[in-house]
Amino acid sequence: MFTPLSDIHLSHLRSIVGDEFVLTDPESIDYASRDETEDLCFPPECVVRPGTPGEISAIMKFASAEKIPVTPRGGGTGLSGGALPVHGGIVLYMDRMHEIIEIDEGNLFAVVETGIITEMFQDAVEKVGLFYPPDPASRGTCFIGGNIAENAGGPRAVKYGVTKDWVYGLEVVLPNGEIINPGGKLLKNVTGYNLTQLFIGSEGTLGVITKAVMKLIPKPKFSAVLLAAFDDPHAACRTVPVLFREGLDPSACEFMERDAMQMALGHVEKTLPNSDAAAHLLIEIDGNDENRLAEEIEKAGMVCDEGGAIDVILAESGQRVNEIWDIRRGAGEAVKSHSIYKEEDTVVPRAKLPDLFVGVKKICADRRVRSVCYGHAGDGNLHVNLLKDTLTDEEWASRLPPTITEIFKHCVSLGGTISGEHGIGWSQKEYLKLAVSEPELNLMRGIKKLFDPHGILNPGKVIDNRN
Amino acid sequence: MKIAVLIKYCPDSEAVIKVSDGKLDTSGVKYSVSPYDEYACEEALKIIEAKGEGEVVVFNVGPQKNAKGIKDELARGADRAVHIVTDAEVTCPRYAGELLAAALKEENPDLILCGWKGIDYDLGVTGIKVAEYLGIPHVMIVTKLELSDGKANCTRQSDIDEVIEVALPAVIGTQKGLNEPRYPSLKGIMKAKKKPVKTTTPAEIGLERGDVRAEYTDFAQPPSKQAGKKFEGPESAAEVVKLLREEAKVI
Repeated sequence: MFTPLSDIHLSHLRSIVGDEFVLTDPESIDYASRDETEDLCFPPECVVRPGTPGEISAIMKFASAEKIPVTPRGGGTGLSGGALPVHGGIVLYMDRMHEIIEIDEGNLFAVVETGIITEMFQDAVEKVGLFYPPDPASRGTCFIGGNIAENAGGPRAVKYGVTKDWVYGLEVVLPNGEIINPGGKLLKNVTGYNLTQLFIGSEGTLGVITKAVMKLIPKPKFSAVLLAAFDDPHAACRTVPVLFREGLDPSACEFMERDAMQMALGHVEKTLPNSDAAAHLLIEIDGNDENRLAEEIEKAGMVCDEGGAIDVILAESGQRVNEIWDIRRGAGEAVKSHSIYKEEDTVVPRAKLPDLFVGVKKICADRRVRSVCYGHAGDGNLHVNLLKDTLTDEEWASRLPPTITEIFKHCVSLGGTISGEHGIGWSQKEYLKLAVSEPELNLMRGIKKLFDPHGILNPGKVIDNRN
Repeated sequence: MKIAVLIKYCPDSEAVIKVSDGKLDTSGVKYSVSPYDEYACEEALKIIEAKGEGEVVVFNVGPQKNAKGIKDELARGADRAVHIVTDAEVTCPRYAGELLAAALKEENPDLILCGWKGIDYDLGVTGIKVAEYLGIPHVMIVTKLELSDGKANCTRQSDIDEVIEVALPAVIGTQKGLNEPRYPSLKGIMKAKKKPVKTTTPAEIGLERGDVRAEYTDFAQPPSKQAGKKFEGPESAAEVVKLLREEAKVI
């Protein structure tokens, strides 16, 4: 179905981007064959590092004509295999296109090339007192382009929303090579279908996103963090909706069960007084009025106390706040370095979180698969890590799929879905039908066909042509 | 046993301080207790907890806003505080030491703990001045502290760890490594609201002018570093040698 790359193809690609930006050495191929999704490995035939949208346009026209698969790649930190070239072909590595074109302080927008590392973009806008809130755990290495393609979230999403809430305009190279510029620095815009938002979360299957118009806000001056220990995880989960009902607007509300906390503490080599508590809630509140912040923090603490917390500690200084966040941010890596794993990204309406957690633990216990849970409690978004731990290869292979299916069915029965922020990509594709109806799947197939009639852009992702 | 803890309320270690017109611009900057003083407070709390009796008294000199820093240490577990309220930041450590010594005299603590320096100006003078004004010994940069029979055994961090014994009362300047300061708890924050904070002023102490012998007259941002030069490939070696000789003048 696809054409393997020949020397003639390679020399044509070189003529588009320049010799040094078409890479076929083993190291580059190996790098582009993996992301952070389990141990998946799909080597591309070459890696191309384009420098301009014009070059990408030429590559797309050529690839469409020649039926060569093209897979765009950002920082390669995805957790559903979205950037993996599962059909080989070209990986379009966007690292050279990393300029901040403009920080418009008058309109509070920035225009960036999408190969910029998220944290570098955040640092740059913070230098002028502005703030780009979305903070996926991988922000130190992931690219804005990947964040847009996967509609990345992160802890602050509970107050500030996810990537889609901050993107107001795009420059996109379509699979046929056309370059479009939907949206702009406009807070209101009802002019036909919202193509900007269609590309966000499209996982690189509809177009190559080359520029983005990102909204900014002034950076809140103060923030403080509470860490509440509970001896009952259910009580911790039940406390979450109460915080919001009480009028608090936390900038993060995170959950960690005991195993996640203890693995994370070991990972960052820290200790905490109640590290053996069954669960912890991390609550961050930010604002511009220090006194009001102190009141809100106290109120959040009281809500936890009334919710059954055995202890609530507070971090206010920058150093202390960072210490607590290092523990939370270290959880993912700590849990994943423990054993072979499969991570599920379940999400339910916030108040259903206790039911989700209890159900997940019961399913995993019944099926004798170890699970470690943590996540963005304020968003009802629970990351469930299934660990191979002491299981044999056969046990792992036979128990895993039914466990995942059951977790997802439970999640959907609570009004939830199977991915909050990691996407479907390659690794979750077979479960998509559990959450999305056949008519919706057909619409998605139609959209894909319209944008990419030859099926060359990131093929094999999100949705297949047939059932 | 009564232990005094001297704390400084400084711009947070994460804060960015700007300079404008030869003055520090701290508007909108977050303040917190200097981390070195957190070691001092933690050590005091641990000593009293181990003894099962006694009290920890926090001392601070500075403007009204410092009350927040004092509250933080009371929330950690200190019993009460003395706040010498000044109109502006006291930037001369000699004067700060003089004010603190006067307030300490009234309290007669058995031991005085403070961070060995403030995280803002990095001077490391105030604690030493306090000891001088009180006529008692001091040991700074302490990473281990043991008390027995009216004496303090202090390990002072240097290239070689020095163990120094001093008679109490003494001023001990605490350094990172001494302990892991606890986080204040919600219960601690609630209790802190009811803990007594005695306020006084330089005028009440009789030191309105004080012994100020040095004052800051100007602040300026150091020039930003020049970008590094990059040389690639073996053929650039000759050029590098030439520049090391002629431009950097190191060979």
